Amino acid sequence: MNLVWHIVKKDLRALRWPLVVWAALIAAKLMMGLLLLTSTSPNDQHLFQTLDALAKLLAAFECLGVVLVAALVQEDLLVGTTAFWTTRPISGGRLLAAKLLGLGVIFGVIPVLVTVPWWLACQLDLGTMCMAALETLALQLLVVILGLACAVVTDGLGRFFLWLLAFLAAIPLAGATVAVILQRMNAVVPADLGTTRVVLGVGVLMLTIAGVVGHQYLTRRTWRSIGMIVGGIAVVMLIELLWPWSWHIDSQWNSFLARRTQEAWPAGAAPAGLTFTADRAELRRTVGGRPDRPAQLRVNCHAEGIPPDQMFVPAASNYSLRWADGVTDEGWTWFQIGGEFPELLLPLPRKPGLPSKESPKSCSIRANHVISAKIATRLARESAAYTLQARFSLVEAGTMERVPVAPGKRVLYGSMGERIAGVEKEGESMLVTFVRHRPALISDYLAEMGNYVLGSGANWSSPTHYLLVNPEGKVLDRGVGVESHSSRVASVEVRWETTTYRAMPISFDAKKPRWEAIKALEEAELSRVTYRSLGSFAYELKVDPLVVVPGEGR
Amino acid sequence: MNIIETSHLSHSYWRTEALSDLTLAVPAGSVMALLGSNGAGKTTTIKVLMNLLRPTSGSAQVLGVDSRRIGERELAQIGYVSENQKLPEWMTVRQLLDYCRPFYPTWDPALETKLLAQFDLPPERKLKQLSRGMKMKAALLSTLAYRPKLLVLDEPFSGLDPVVRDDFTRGLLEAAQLGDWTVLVSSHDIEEVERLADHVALLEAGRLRFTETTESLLGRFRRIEIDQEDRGLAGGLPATWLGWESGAGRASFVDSAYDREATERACRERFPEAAVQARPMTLREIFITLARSGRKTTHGAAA
Repeated sequence: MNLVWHIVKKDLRALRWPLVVWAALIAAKLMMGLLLLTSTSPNDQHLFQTLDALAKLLAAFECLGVVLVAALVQEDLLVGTTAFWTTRPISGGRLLAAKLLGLGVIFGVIPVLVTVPWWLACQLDLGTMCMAALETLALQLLVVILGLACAVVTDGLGRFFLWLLAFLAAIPLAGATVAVILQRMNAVVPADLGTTRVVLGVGVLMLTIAGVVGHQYLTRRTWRSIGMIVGGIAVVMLIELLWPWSWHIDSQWNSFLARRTQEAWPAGAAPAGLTFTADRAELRRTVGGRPDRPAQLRVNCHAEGIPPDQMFVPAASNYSLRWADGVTDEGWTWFQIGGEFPELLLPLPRKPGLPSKESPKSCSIRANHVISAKIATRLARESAAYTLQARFSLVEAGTMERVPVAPGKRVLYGSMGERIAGVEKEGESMLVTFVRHRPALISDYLAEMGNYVLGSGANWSSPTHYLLVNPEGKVLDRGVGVESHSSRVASVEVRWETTTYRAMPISFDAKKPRWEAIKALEEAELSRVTYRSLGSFAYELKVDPLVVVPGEGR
Repeated sequence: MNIIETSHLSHSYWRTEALSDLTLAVPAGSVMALLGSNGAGKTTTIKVLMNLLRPTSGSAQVLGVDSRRIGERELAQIGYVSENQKLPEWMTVRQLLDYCRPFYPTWDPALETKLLAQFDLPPERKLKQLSRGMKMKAALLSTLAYRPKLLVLDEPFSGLDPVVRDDFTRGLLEAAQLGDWTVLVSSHDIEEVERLADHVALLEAGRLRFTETTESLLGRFRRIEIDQEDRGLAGGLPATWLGWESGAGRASFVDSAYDREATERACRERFPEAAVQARPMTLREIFITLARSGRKTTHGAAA
């Protein structure tokens, strides 16, 4: 092991300057994140776009890590008969161990160590930080595997780049060939089987590369290694064309999401007295009312008995339409809350310092579904049994706190944080820009995407809201979002959100002159409401038969 | 005991046979010079012995181990210096030594210090800043410091100017007194090899022409000069007489199986009245004679 470390140290010393550049590249990307987080001129859209573009560009530059892989591997060449190490007492296995360790340091330790201060600055908890580190390692691993595949069979950077280009071209070329052959065979590949083939193909490719690397280090028989790569690609193509067994990956993933959904939105957990009913359904054709295009089914629902001071938050859900002959259509739903929405969003709590106000006891909610042209035509002709697996959360205001109408310090909520970054007054309106950040792992994105596609709900995540209040505590305005930009830097999402507030409604009424609105705004303050989740539940709504009427407009 | 033994060893680059049917033994403690013109197969032989190339057929044993199985243990006892080897040029001489040291349990720091001074190498200078000769010395130093049982030098004098070449050879000779090692040196620089080698093997077009001790080789080759009127040859020449030249009342040839009495008798039979003189030859002269006669044979065969 000492000798392995000895080789690693030699490699790191040889690559010390490229490594400094490598670490600086990562640090520069994080610096962009830090600037996004701490900017004092957040209304400057151009600045945001520049910082975001730079962060993305620097992240893309990290792909140049393949050059580091090549440099590390070719520090002790595996091709040809002139390498120094081959006539020294260094076995291929020992050298391979040293190179893997070196790669671990360069692509694991350095990026994580450089990024940890950023994660700490964003207050990521240990668990999230570990996940973010794993995600970083996984992304680096892709670069390493690609670089290794080409570096072990080449003897210089020039040849390495040629091989890299050839390899990068071979993969889409092989994919296109497979697609053409499948098309000519008129083969219909079910989604589950397609996913299995892709996963298996990627796995075989990874194993092939690992095999080639091991083989090349242990035997240095380059042509055989090249043959292994070509053979591996051929095997992957055969798998994509012919593999017959499905591993039901899609179904298992969907079941996993469904299980998680059931746990997050348990059925029968709705508060007593809360009812959810459907009023009427409309079928709206899209562009020009063409019957060959998908249509939108809108089911107007009504929620009654919402407890006072609580907010009713719908999540993505799923529906089914079933006819007597067994034809079924299933899909996902998104909700729009009716005219009471603003009030619902502001359940003013009975807290000291602020007057109490009863929350609405009911609200209308519209469930929207996109259905195919065929289903829409049948639904217009014939009623179907409709089932909506609706999912909701109830939240209430936990705390209210006055905050100065001025840029201030960051407030943290677990791993999320926000600060008022800029305040600009223009006549009777005021623009307040918030800079918010939250962990944004790719795995979360994937799960959220799955949740939406499957209609299995998405968690309500915004923990705060800022209200404009007068000195007596009366709410003047809840604000309207006017601009929002987000950027993702090393597993953290940074969002600039600008909200406009008015102390008095826009009015040309002479009784409320403009100067009065400006004066009211001068005296107004902001109040931060922090919400608390009270629980989530699922509600099954059945309508049989669902009678639809043609809707108007888009 | 032989440190190196090959048996019917062959190696081909695709369809080109670079080494053919080589059977050779290098005794322990000897300095074997592998001679041959460019493309004779010297470097290929060494690369096969060092397991840098795999034999196409036949086998080779190095330190008692099949060349294809040479591992860390054997390599710790073999020193290899080649003109073609890519040294880690970003290192300084000291860094090179520091890097190599832990791999060799037999590394001798005192010898390292002594050789460093003897080779007059600047320890803090990077290898890429050194001249070719200095680089070769640095490579030799990193090889000799662990007192290898077998030292393999592949064209060590190639591209060195005469002064550096002399320096290098002297360094090698002085180092040879410090240890008891077997040396295999390939070169076409015969004058330098002559100072080092006690055994010689000559390769020609991938085939071994002969192998024997330098003493025996120098003993059996003589340039014979005959003063006589050019009257033509009486009968044919023996096969061991090479490079016959005649003109202006003189003739000369090289006897490759010189025996004073036998050679004089054979000369008297053919040139009864001529004065015969036998002159010892250098290894270089022998090599040139053999190379020319070999070329003639090859051309003859081709014709």
